[in-house]
Amino acid sequence: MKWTDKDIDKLYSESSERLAFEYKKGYWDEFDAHLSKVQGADGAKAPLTDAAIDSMYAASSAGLAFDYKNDYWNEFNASLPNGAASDSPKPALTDVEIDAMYAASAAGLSFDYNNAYWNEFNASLPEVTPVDTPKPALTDVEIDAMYAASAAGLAFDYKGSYWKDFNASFPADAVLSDNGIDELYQESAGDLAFEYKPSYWEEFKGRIRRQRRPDFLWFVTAYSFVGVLGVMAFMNANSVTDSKTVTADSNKIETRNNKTPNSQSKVENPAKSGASINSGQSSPANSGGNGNGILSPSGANLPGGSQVVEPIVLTNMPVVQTPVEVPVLAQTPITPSTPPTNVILIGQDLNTLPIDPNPNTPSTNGTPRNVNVVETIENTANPAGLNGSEPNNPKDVSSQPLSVDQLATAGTNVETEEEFRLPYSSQDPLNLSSSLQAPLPGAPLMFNRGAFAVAYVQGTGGLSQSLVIPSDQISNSFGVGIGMEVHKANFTFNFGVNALVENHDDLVLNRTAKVYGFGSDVYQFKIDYKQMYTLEAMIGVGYNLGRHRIDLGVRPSFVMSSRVHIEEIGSSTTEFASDNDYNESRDLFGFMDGLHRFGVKPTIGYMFKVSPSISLGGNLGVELMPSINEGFINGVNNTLPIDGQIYIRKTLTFRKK
Amino acid sequence: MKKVNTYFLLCAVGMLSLGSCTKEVINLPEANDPVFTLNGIMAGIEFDLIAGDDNAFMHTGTEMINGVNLFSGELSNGDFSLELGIFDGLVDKPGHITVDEIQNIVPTFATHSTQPLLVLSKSMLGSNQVIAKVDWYINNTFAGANEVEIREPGKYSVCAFISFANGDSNNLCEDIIVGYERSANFSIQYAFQAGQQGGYINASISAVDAAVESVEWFVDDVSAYTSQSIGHQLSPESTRLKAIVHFDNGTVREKTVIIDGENNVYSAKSFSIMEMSSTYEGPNQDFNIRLTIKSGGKTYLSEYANNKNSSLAITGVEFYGKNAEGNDVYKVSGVVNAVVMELVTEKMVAVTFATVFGVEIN
Repeated sequence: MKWTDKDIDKLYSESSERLAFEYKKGYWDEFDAHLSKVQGADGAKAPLTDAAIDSMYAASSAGLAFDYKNDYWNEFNASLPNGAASDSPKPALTDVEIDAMYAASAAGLSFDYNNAYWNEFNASLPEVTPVDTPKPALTDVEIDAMYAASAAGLAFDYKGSYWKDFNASFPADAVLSDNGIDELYQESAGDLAFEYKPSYWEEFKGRIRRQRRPDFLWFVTAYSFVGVLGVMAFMNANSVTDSKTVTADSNKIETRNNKTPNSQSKVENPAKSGASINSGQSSPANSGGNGNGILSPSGANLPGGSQVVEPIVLTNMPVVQTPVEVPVLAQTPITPSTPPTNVILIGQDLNTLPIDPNPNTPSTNGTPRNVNVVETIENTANPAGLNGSEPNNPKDVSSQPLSVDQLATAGTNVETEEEFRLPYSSQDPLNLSSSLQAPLPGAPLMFNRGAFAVAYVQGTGGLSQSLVIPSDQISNSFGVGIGMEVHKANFTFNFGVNALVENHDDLVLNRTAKVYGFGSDVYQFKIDYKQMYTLEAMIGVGYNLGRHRIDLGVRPSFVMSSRVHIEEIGSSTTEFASDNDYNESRDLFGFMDGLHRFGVKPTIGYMFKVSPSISLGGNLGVELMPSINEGFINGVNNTLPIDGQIYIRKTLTFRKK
Repeated sequence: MKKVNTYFLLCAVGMLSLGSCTKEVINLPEANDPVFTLNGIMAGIEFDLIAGDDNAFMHTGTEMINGVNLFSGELSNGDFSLELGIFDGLVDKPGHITVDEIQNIVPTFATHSTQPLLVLSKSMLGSNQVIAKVDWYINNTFAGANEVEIREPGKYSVCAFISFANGDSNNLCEDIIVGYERSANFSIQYAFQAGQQGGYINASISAVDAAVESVEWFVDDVSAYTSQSIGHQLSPESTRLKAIVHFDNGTVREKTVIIDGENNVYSAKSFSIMEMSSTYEGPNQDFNIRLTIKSGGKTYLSEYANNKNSSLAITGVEFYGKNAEGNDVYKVSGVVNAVVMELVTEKMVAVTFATVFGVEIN
């Protein structure tokens, strides 16, 4: 008989009807023998091995499930005879294998963690829980890599509620204060450490260099100012001191003839004024008939009492070590009847003066060869020539002291257009600096004197970098200005204002606006800012060095108006026509929408005094303020555009009639 | 010093004159985003129109259809056009504000009815023995004699030229509202008492759907009474008695009857009887939408398609400005899923689009 599945089922069914039976090994033997017998017809049946049985069991139990109860095992265990051999133990699984199995089985599983699970598990553990073999410690690098890998791609939106929740998680008495947070931070920061590498600094410096490029101009400007001031201070230290001594090789005293017959100057006897240079070496007698003393050895009287004084050229000028005192000019009245004297122009090199190295030796022309320097400078010939008053009216000149300035501006034939220069050395035996302090209203520019003011007018022209970038255009400007200079010592304070016309070629706005509605209108504008009309003030301070002056200042400006050329092209999509084109072009004044009106330029300048009333100069400035409204001009504001301007300045002299 | 002052004065004047030049202002127009747009798909073909681009233009206007305003806009580029119309509603409420109503209703598509909405019948005016013939004029156009069907919704001005059997004739004109909501209605009831010099009538208003606020009676077009019930001595000739009734919901209706003072048989009833006897039970056309698409030389209409399952969502209505005619135009934003029928082939085509449309609404 061949056992079919049906037969087996039937047999099983019948057997199972006996709900319980006692297993006896004989059953199995019987079954096995029976099976062997049946299968014997097909061939010898191989004995079932454990593996085969396991396989059969696994196949038959596939899909079966039941709730395991511990009682099953206990019952099974109890049913085993004592010492019953169990299956040979399988090789113990390693932790890694167990982990892998767990990971494989746990993949895809998820459950809501309940704290009770852990508690239950924990309670079930024996007193001493075996500890897994410690794994090799991870290095920081490995941890970092793991952290970086896991953190990559993570992102979350921070919400304020997170912090509130975190804060709320603390007990009420454990709210973190700022100090607490600081301590936490310090504590955790103390654990941080990193290795410094020089490359960090190089990288940082590289960033700084890139970022500070715009400041380059500032540094250059600032260093330039400092440099100029330093040079000026150095030069000043070499030229102006309060020393009382004069070295002959650094002083220069010029003499000029009185070209006007009735205009004479006089150098008085030092003894008369109480001043002394090589005291006792000069006397009225030594002055001779021309009264010039040693300074005018070849002087000759001219008709009308004036005197021609030939310039004296001194050679081999010895160093003058003797202090020279110069009396206060005011203490020396001007006496019209005083015999003609020479005018001594301060600034003539003492080398040119006939100073005898031996004071006691008479000069070649008979006059003492003393190193006589001016005691008092007087206009003895014609006071009116000095102040413009009528002749024989000594009141104007006698009532005030005369200085070199006055002499320079007086109506005498002294070369008044010639600048009176006093490049004295650090030793000033003449104490001239103090003697030249008297202010003279209306006098031309002089220095080393008291404060006084003069007005001026000027014409200006200039060039400027473009106000916008990108552009390769250079703007130009021209204009006129007025101002006032206040002189104090060697400093000049300048307050002026210029009216400028600035010409531009690159301040253009191209705007195309499509305005939608029922259809659309397309507007194409080209607005070309041709000119700007600007008021520019100049507020500065200058330092005078002879004919030269260095100015520092600031030029605030205000754009008052503009001239723009506008081209407008329009087209419309309307209900009745698709294109209604028009083209208009015109010039407009006062369109300021594209301009920032206020500007300010730090400025450094230089001025050269061509004559007492005419000066040439230039300024170099940097515009700090953005000049254009970038919404109205193509391009963007040029950062710190540089402009330069030159000017010619006419100092105005106003005299009372 | 005077010279100095002169210098400064001249300079100041120069500066002021420089700054006081005539200044002109350039009003640079600002570009803006398109206002009226339309993009969608019809029969698998996408369309995208922007008013102002590619010769597309948003036309707006108001069309009177059967006595009712159709507020519409048409966005067209010449090759493709889509017209969106909104029928007015509450046509018996002269004071209603259409824009407010549009924002408060659920719009539906207007439907072309295949059945007559109302029949103008001679028999409803009087007995055949009395009235020999009635010539009907609708909106001043002759529509037919004795019986005329009205197949489209509207507010019609209907005039009946009645020829009585005794040879007399008269005409009666009234507005008839059909296919639109009638917020209130009334009829004129009167009792006739014959008299030697003419009959006497006691007339009153029989109102429905709303309370009567005021009544104004006109006898032969002359204002005569303002009470709801009146008594009036008729002349021997026929008298035209008209009542204009104002209801408390804003509805205003007007009815007229013709009464013969000698023989009441030769009288004519108001058309109200016909309004009320209308068999039309379909949806009213108040504030319904009509969609017309022209593409490739073909015309597609939504009225002839079944749009019961279509959707139309108006997401916004806001005032935009005035059009060339000076009328108010509103921007109507919406999303439409509809079916349109091609007029020639009667092919149904699905169309879906989103739009910001301009609609003139007065």
